[in-house]
Amino acid sequence: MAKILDIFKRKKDTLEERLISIKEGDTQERENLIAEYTPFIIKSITKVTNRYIETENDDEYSLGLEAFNEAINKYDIEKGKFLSFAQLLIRNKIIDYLRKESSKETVISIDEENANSGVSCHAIGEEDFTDKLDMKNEIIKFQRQLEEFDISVNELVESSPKHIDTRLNSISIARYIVENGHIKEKLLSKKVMPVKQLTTEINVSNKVLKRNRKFIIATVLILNSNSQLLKNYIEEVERRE
Amino acid sequence: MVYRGTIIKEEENFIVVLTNKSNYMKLKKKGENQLGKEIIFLEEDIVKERTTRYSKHYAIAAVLVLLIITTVMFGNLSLNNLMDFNTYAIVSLDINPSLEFKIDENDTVRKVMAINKDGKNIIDNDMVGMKIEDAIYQSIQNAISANYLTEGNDTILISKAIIKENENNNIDVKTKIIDKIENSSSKKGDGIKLVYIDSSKENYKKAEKENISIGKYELYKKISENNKNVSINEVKDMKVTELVNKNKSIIKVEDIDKSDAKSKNNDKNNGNNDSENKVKDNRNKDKDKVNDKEKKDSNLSNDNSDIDKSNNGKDNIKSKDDNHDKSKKDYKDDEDDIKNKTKESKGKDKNNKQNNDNKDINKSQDKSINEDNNLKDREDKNDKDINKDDKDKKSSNRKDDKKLDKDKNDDYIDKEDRKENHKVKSDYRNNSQDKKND
Repeated sequence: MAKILDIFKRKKDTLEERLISIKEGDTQERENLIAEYTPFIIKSITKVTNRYIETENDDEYSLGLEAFNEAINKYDIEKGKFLSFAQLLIRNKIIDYLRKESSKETVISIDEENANSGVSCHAIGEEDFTDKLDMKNEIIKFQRQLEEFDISVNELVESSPKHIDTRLNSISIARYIVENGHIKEKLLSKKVMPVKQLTTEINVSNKVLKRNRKFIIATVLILNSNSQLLKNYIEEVERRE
Repeated sequence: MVYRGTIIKEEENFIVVLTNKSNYMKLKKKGENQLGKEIIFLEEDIVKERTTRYSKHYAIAAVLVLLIITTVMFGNLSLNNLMDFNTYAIVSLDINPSLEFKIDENDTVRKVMAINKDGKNIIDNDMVGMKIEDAIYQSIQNAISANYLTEGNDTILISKAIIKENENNNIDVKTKIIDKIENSSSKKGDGIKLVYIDSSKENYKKAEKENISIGKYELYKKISENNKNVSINEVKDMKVTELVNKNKSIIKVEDIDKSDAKSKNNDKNNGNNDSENKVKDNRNKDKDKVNDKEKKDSNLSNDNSDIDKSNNGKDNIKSKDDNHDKSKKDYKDDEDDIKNKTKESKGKDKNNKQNNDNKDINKSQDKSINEDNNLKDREDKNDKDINKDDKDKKSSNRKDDKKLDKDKNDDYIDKEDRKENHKVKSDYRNNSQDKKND
């Protein structure tokens, strides 16, 4: 019993101790704590907005981080639990932000009606819009190509390798296909994986190719596409290697 | 852990993202998110398709397994319970195939069960739905044709236990069955003896535990009251006839055919008397021997007197003598033995030993005759006629007359034995007279 109680105490102590040390000026510890509690911050934000945080306009996310940081500064042990206090601050910040956003939009619309000064604003909006549209088109194109291979996105979720190493292996096979034009052409025209060619040219087993067929084809399609964002994801994983 | 991913597909209930680790994931749908947007999400947002699907499969499998287990474990019980719910009473039939009928409130058989192996042989498939008396009659017929019920093995045991009390309905199975068998045109079933015992729900449960019919259980209870050595297994294996015969005093037996019943009862009574007599015979053998001699003596004396009286009626004498001959046979044998002995001794020692042997024989005979005489005296007091005869015989003159009479009568009496008898008899008389004179 005593040991269990100790564990609880230590945990409490560590959070309390950490907060105290942070207040005393331990910046490293502050960053660690924030990194550790990012999921908590994200959760608190989505509770208010009720949608996923988009990285494109990460105002919400940075405001959340700000609020959390503020909570660390303002926290008083006598006021109660830290986490509930932090959540309250994040909530308030985000609600304030959302109000400002909605009022901004109305202001803009009034501005648009009353004056011609809103052109610049409009231009920014248009840029965003075309960006988004491009992205959207890329993804729709990707889906269509998958359909040509008789692969649905749901199947992709189910059959994509769960372990990072097998994914890397599959990505390297996909990369090889894209870099070797003749194989890529064969694949794209015949809609069939050139298994024989691959097994002879690289040291891959038949089994691996069959099992990860869908994931490899999807990766080839992404690498062959113009969608930099999706390409970045794959390159990001490759860079880890 | 914080994930980043681009939405590549929107569905009604979920979205699909390609994550920054080049993994495809399904996420819960939250708000409005457009295709191609990069989002930040957490572990908890991921729809774990595989695990959820598996868990569904597991759940279904688990439910099925549970169902199977429960049906296997409790299926029989629950079925029995359902059956018990419908049954109004249990009727058991034992010959020694044993059957058990579950009947409802309309006396209709709902279920037939064989309690032992033989029981299966006398069950018909169509018994379910029959009236109870018909079903029992049917099974009796089957038992007769399968030789379970024979002349020597003719007792059936019927017992009834009411499971569900109902005031309106009280089936008198006993009379119904008896009526049924008596009224049936078939000759089968004549002379069957019926034992009927009422049972109770409690005893039915006990009997069920012992895997024995309620009828036999009741019998066992009755028998064990008198004889505690009887085990339930013995009762289980015994034929009803044996059981009933062994415990006639306790068990009420009813004969189904009335005319048969009467004759059988009479037979029983006769048999009983005979056996009683036999027992007496055994006990009184010794006495009887003595009595026989005594009787014969008295008979002889009577004969003599009769002969005296009926010198003229030759035919009468003949017939009477014939009658007496039978009773005399035993006596004759005894006398013959003695005579043979005397003859043998005579042949061996003609002169010297003859007299001694005769004396010895006479002595031994004297003793028995003394006893005879004592008994005779008692009888004599009661019978004056015999007394008179004795007195007559005592006189020596008379003896000579008798001898003469006998000689005369011998013409009418064919058998030589008779002569000898008389001679011996007269010898006895002489000896006794001598003694008395002494």
